[in-house]
Amino acid sequence: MRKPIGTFIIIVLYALLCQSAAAEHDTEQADSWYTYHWGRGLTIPAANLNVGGYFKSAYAQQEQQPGVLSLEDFSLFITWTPHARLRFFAEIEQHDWLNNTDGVAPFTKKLSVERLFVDFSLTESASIRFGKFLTPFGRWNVIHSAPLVWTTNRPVITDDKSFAPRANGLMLNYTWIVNEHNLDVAFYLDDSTDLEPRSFNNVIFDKAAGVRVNYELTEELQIGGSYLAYQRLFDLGLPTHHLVGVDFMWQHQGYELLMESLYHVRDDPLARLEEKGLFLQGVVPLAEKVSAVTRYEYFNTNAGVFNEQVVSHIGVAGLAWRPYLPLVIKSEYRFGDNNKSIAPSGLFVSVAMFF
Amino acid sequence: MMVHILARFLLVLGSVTHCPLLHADDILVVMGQAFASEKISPKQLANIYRRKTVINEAGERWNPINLSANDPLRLAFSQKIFQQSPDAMEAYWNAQYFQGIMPPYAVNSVEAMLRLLATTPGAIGYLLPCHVDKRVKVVFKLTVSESLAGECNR
Repeated sequence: MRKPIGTFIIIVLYALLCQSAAAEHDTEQADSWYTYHWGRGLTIPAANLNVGGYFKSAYAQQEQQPGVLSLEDFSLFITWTPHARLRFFAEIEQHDWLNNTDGVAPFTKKLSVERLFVDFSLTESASIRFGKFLTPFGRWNVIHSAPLVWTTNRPVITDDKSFAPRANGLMLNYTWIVNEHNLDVAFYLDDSTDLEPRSFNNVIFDKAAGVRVNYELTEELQIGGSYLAYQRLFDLGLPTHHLVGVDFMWQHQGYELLMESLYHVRDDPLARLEEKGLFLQGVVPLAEKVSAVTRYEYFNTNAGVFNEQVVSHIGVAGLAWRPYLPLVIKSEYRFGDNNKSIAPSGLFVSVAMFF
Repeated sequence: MMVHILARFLLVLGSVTHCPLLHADDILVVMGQAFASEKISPKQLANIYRRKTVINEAGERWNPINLSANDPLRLAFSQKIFQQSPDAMEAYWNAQYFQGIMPPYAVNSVEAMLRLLATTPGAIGYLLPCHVDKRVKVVFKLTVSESLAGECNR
């Protein structure tokens, strides 16, 4: 118990002390062969290389369960841009490396390749991505890192229950400018069985294909739609899964409204799978750098035992404090109805920081 | 939208009556004299500055250059192109950092901007008309509502 708490305190102190250190780096290293900017990583301009990352440490007190303090994520980003058209990106992560119930896991056991891809710009508007990347279904999954999101826990529909969060394969991105607003379309093909690098995540695709469309209605409002068809590695031979989803995000001077929905079906004549869900999340600035966050989630699935339909309602209410831009401290209470197995009620606190 | 229309109306009225009701200045979007320029729209410019468009028609890398975040010219440019201040844009750059994309390079002075534009292929920046010299050529003009006349003496 003593070691994880010590680590947690060190991490928090490090985060709070980093601001002054970062300010010094900005001025002192202007003519150096490298630059370090807190929250933007270490850049070596001559090599077109950037190394950065983030961590998340969390405390979870689920109802009728002992509290768990853990270093949930420690991620390293490596970006290399050797040519105008080429960009390599890798994210290597230690997931749940240490906590106060299991102690410290062997370093290599929890090491995973979260993302590993190369982007090639075909034209001004088109690019192609090859490798392992975040599945572009909805909004949350592609920006899920703890310093970017407002709550410690993900909404249920963005978790790995309905689709694999990462795909391995090829993605074509195209941007049209329609009435001076961006229309982005991404089409991707997955072959995880042959391409998946080492990963701790068992919920991966066998084969998948999908499309994601996003349109900026205004600078503050974006709407999107996603479609995904896939077969999972462990249900070979069963019919294909189909998912559709619509979403929007509105942001205005610290206020934010985010909605995502999905419908998921697999037409198995013996056991038809059907899931539908959505979440609606609002953010309201309370004071400078402090925001209130609230979320409602609905999830209706028959994926459990005997294909019984289970309807869950989940509520989340919390606060997020961003004393500095790369750093966020979050606290939330989650509650609900029929939520014990998918999103248990309880108190969750976390510290997350880009470095 | 109504505010925008009203602002345009006041500008036109001011210019017709020679009695400025609302002050407006121009920001010039510029590239190095030695480098090929192409026609770009304000939205394309925004995409270049958001690092969403990374190469030009010829396949060369765009190198957008910013002034420092508290520079009045940068504030006016950011407000015009993104309808957001540089500080508000930092949330966007946080999200891009997670994708491995870095914000444009920022310089501390107009002279540093001019030097970089003159020597860096694909570099694009913004200046006031009084700052422009033979090292750069104008790609297009942005009219902003802020008064930037005082910035010429820096």
